[in-house]
Amino acid sequence: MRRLLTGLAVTVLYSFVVFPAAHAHKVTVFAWVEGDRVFTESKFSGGKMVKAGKVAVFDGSGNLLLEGRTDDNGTFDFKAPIITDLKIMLTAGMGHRNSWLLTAAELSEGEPTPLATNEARPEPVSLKTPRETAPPLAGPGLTARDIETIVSRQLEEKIKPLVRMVAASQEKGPTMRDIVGGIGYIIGLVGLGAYVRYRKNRRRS
Amino acid sequence: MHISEGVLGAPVLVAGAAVAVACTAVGLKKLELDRVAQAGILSAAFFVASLIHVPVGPSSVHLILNGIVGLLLGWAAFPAILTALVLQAMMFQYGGITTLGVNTVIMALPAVVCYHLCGPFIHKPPRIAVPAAFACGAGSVFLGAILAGASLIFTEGSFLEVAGLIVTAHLPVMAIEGIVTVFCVAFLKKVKPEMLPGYDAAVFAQAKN
Repeated sequence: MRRLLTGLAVTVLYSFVVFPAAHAHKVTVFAWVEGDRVFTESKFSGGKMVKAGKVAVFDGSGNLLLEGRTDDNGTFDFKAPIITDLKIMLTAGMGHRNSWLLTAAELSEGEPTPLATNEARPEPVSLKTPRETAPPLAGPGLTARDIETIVSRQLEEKIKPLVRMVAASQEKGPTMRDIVGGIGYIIGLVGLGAYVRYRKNRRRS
Repeated sequence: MHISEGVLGAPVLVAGAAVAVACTAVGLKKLELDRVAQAGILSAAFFVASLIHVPVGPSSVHLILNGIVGLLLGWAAFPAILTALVLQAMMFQYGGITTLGVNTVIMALPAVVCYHLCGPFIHKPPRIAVPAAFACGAGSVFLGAILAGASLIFTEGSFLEVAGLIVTAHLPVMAIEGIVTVFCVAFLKKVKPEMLPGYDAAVFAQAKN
């Protein structure tokens, strides 16, 4: 029995040594918006890209909008056909599937708002009705709306690496905590079995 | 071999769950309380085995160990594998809660089949026992792949194509598991032969004398 336990311990330890190089048996898909295009990235967790995985895009009510396949880098991008909640479904074959929800709000934020034209811009300060100049002038020739557009565009540019980082951290393989936790559950169940057996023995005696 | 949530239609899911429940009930009934600890250890081994991955082409496959679990537990492989799959679904998001039944059948049914097919030959002399142990390890992965292909019939079209794909992807795993099973059986025969199926103390004592 002792040798059996030693053997088991070695096997388990070995599995932890092998584990870091592993590719998990799960797929993840992540989507983000840049301008008016939606980018998706599909991975087997562990980092391997899904090649030629089927990506289907559905609207909020489940109608198929478009379909495509991921390239060698696991990416697939498309122009959002309408501004609505998008459900991006990845099917990687052999029963692997996952999806990502992109809300209409995210999509419309990515949509570049055209710079307000001169005609549309409200007339500069009118002494008579100072309160009615709704978008107040922020500087010479620029309305608050223009600045908003520029800032949002710049911001999008700046957070792009962050978005990718978040995407990468979305799919971490099982951690040590998960593994030990799972084994703990099993030991608990075994304990329950031992308890039941013990109680039966005591009743009999 | 874990089928994800949302891939299968309701009839397949319900059928899988029904078979899994029935077989788990049988397994629990056949599991004597004295062997709960053994079932637990094997369940834990199965739970961890899925983390050992073998990269194959674009995808990757992992060890399953259902052959050895089946060989040592018989029908009790069902509750053991179901437990491990519940935990894998919760902790690792492998498979899913709705596909639990189907996944249990895919992995545990071959284990029971191989237990009955290969179990009787395990205590024979090595030239019979070694191929039997290999067949048990490799065969249960093979049958699992076939079952996985069968359960995907309604979603991925041609059965032969899908099953062929899954079997091909699992060829390395079949080889590895066959070898692992051979070593496990050889080890247990020396150390604790009563753990293996078909053990008869009297016959064994006679053979030793």
